[in-house]
Amino acid sequence: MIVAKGVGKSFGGERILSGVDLTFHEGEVVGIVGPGGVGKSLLMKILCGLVEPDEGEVTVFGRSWADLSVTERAKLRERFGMLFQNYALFDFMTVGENVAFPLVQRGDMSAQDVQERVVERLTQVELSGVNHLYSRELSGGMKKRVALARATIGEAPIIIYDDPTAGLDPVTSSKIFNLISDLQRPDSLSLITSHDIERMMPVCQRYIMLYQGGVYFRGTAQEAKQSQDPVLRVFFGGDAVDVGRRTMAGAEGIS
Amino acid sequence: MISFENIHKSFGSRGVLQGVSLSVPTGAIRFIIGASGAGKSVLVKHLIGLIRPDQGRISLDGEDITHLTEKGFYTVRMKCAMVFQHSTLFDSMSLIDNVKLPLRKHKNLTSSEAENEAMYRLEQVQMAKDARRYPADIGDGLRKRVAIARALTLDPKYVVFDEPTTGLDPLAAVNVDQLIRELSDEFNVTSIVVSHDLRSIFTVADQIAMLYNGQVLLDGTPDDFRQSDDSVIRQFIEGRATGPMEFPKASRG
Amino acid sequence: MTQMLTVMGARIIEILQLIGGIALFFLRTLRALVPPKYDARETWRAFYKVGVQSYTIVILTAMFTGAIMVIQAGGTIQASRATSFVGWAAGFTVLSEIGPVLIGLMFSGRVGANNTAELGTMVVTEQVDALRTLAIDPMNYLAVPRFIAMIVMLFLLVALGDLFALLGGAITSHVMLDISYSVFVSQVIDAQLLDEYILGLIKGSLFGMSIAIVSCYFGFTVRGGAPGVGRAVNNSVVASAIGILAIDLLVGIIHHAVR
Repeated sequence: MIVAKGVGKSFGGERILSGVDLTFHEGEVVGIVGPGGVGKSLLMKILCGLVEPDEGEVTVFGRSWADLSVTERAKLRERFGMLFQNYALFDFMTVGENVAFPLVQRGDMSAQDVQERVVERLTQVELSGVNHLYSRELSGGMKKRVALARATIGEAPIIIYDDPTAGLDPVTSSKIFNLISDLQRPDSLSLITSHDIERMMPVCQRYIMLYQGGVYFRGTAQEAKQSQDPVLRVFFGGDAVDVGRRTMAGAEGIS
Repeated sequence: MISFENIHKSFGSRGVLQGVSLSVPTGAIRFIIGASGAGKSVLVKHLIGLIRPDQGRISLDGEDITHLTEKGFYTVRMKCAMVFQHSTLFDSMSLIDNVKLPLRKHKNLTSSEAENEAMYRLEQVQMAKDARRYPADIGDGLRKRVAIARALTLDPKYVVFDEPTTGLDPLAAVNVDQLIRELSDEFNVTSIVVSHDLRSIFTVADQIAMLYNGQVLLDGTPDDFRQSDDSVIRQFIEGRATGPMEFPKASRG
Repeated sequence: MTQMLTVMGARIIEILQLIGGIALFFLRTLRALVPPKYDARETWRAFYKVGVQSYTIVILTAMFTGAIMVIQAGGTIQASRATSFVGWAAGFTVLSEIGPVLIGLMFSGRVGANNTAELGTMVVTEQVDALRTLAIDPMNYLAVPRFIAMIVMLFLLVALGDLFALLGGAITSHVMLDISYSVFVSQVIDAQLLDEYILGLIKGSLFGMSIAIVSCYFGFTVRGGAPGVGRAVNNSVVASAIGILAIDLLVGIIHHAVR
């Protein structure tokens, strides 16, 4: 579904990503993890064609972003749903209008059908009856759920969740991940970036870990936990870290 | 010793704190936990006068500080430092200038003494090599460390950490946890940590109080929490999506 | 109808509250001036930023102003063959009135807006709270250096701008009215405009003070995240402009009365 070959990107002379090769298939839910600032969000933006890589290419449904015209890109991007880290809800629109936005933009449904879909989707994320509110009136967890409804309402074949539980407490985080799991369709691809590995485990089948400018690990959480690599074990919570000692190899100076 | 007695605080019609009482003995690492919006940050901000209670009493080392003026709270703040959830480093200053600021303001040091002292604080959090860089140039985890270094410059007896590991990746989070533990073990600093990071709660805390529906639901050791039968506590510490836990309807602003 | 009155009434109360808030903030700033223990580094930074941000636009504004005054007066002067009045005409209005006001307005749009945005961002990212927790008074540390820097800098900028306004006038007179530079200069000197020059400088300092107070006030009172900062910047520029014109009027009245 998405293939990245030799993708590299620098910003202001600093090399963020290099030589990233990845393949994603339909029906998968993949967790993209790694230390802060390692380029996870950047990679997501490269995959959905919002940022052009300096080297390498990304193909989606067999078509390379680099070969497409501006209008073709916009067309292809309709096949992506996005949940942004900071909600990115339009604050001049009500919740209902926000959720309806992708459908209204696509313009192939009657207003009646759009309304029905919006109500249905809001009920799925346990937010029925808040259509008329504005995002500033909602709590963080509620905003995340509205963003979730908007990201999935178009039933796009590829959905990107950029840190969907940032700053939320564990119970609310679990609820969000459960919803992501419920909304997953058998023929779609979901990519999730998060630091909350424990709570994303029930949802993701496999993981890509970015570290030191490239793909450091790919595989299941189980494999990571049992690995000999201390960085992986700490990251995936295989080791209960004894914080009384300051010996953790590899953790110094990266974060 | 810090004690909160029967603290009430409302924002508009929402009663965030409805009679919270708890104490923080010297030397301990005291966690205050609860869901987002449960009023954890609101409670600790009372200690340093950033928020004033509607009702109740706060005392610090036996002195009633509830009704101090803003100026009066300056002495309290020299004793109780605060590390905010988001980086509050001053964007216009290099990292070392950030750490130096409280030294310049409150200690009678020559500029080279202040420089050395600030460097020592940065070394403590392993950030000395980045001293001349600016907050915007480094990641969240590193900014958090510098913010901790800055909070420690005045040798506070107490340090309040507001969600120190939220938004950090697991490696950075473990690093911050280690720093908090070290402050307690080696420098005898009393820490008050607001958190909902389960890993951090159960690896660092000496004592935990959980806020729920505006009140303290349970106050005890990590073992008390592990052994609790209360269904809300179980849901929270297991991070389960389903359960009896209620959430505040809407957040403020 | 009653609803409209209610809304208008509420708006008037809002504005009165705002004026009260700004007045109170002014008093707090004055109180923070004593004892005179200012943060040297932050004061220097304020001076540097204010100066660097504004000197180019001030020079440009001043030159255009001088040029426009000559062009405006040019027709009449040529018709009445009173070319010996050009220097006086350009100098008189520019130095005491148009110069300081336009420079003040440009300064507020550039420096004042920037200041509100900077302080507002510090408020919403809790940097101001962080200062308080480090037992540093934000009034003393942030407001006072900006207050001093804006007063002094706008005084200097008006002094500098006046020269460039006259330069602009001289060039225009030379090109349009064929008056040589030396004649223009001697005309300006003969016109004895020292009073106007000093009046302009006084106005400049007062404008600097009001821009500092207004822009700091709106910065410190930001609510509601990044959108709140945007709103505050907008309000701050509008309020500064009104402040400048009000002060201009007031000084004009007083000046007229004492003369």
